[in-house]
Amino acid sequence: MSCDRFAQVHAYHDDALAPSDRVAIENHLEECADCRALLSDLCGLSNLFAVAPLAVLSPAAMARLSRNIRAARDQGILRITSWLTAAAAAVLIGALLLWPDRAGNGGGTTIATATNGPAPALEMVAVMPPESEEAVPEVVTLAQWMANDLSYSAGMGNVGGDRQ
Amino acid sequence: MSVDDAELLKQIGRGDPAASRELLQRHGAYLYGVAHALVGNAADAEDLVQETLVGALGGTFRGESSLRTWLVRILTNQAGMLRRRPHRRAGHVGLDDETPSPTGPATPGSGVEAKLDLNTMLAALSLDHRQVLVLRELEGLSYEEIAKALHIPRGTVESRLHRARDELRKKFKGYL
Repeated sequence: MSCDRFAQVHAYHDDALAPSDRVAIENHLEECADCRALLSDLCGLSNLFAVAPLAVLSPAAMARLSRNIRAARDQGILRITSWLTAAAAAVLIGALLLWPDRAGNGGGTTIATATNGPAPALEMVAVMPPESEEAVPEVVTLAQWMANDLSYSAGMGNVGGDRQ
Repeated sequence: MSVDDAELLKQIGRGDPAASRELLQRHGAYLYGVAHALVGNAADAEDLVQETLVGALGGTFRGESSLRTWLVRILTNQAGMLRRRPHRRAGHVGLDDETPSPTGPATPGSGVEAKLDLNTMLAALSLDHRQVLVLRELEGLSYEEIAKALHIPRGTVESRLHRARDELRKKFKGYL
């Protein structure tokens, strides 16, 4: 039982044919018993799907899902907060390292401008190590504080591990 | 007064936890039923629904279909990703698994009055075939929409659909 127009019968059943092709396949169906049998089966299958019962979600599973989705959502918010904190820490540390007048003795930044010719052709920015050691402990302390905060945040919540 | 799905999503976007619960109440049971038929066990089905809804909370619903259809599209994609994970619990049945059994005897000639449950219908098929059947038969997506949802060519959608239906025709001939 086979006909080379079976694919078109599927498409006809799924309403995926152009109007002209629909007319052609309808004419073909009148004379091809195999295609008529196929179409009948496809309609029967669609009817089975339409009334097929689904697996039931138990109240316990529903409660678990509710809990886990809330936890996953909270974890997502926490992660974004951690990223923002890390970004803020990086900006702050960078600003401290590059601050020109830190500790009143000039900063770690030297800007040299090459003025060969009528207009400035090139600007070079060099980041030098700080001359004063006084500010370094502040930076280390700040970085340590940020790291502690992030470690604490990362340890909170346990998404997906709540299946009892 | 109950809000429509689009408004519900807006509320979820504003961080309303009650709206997230409402989304689960409205669509959780259906998604679970479809997920169970796709993956074949309760534990993976539950994971799949969870990942789908969490993904939906961070996604963008454009209103091109119903919210339920949009969620099922996410779910079928997630099912494909789940298959690629090494820890998948193939064939495992959870303790609170409540898969309905066919409401009538699985004998030829019973007609559609003897309903087959979705799990039974899809059990013999590969996940690729289950995905296209769910999107076509349950959600009524067009070939193009299925191709877009599953990131496969339209021709592949058609061939998978034909093969899947051919298998079902042979297996459940007596019900047709």
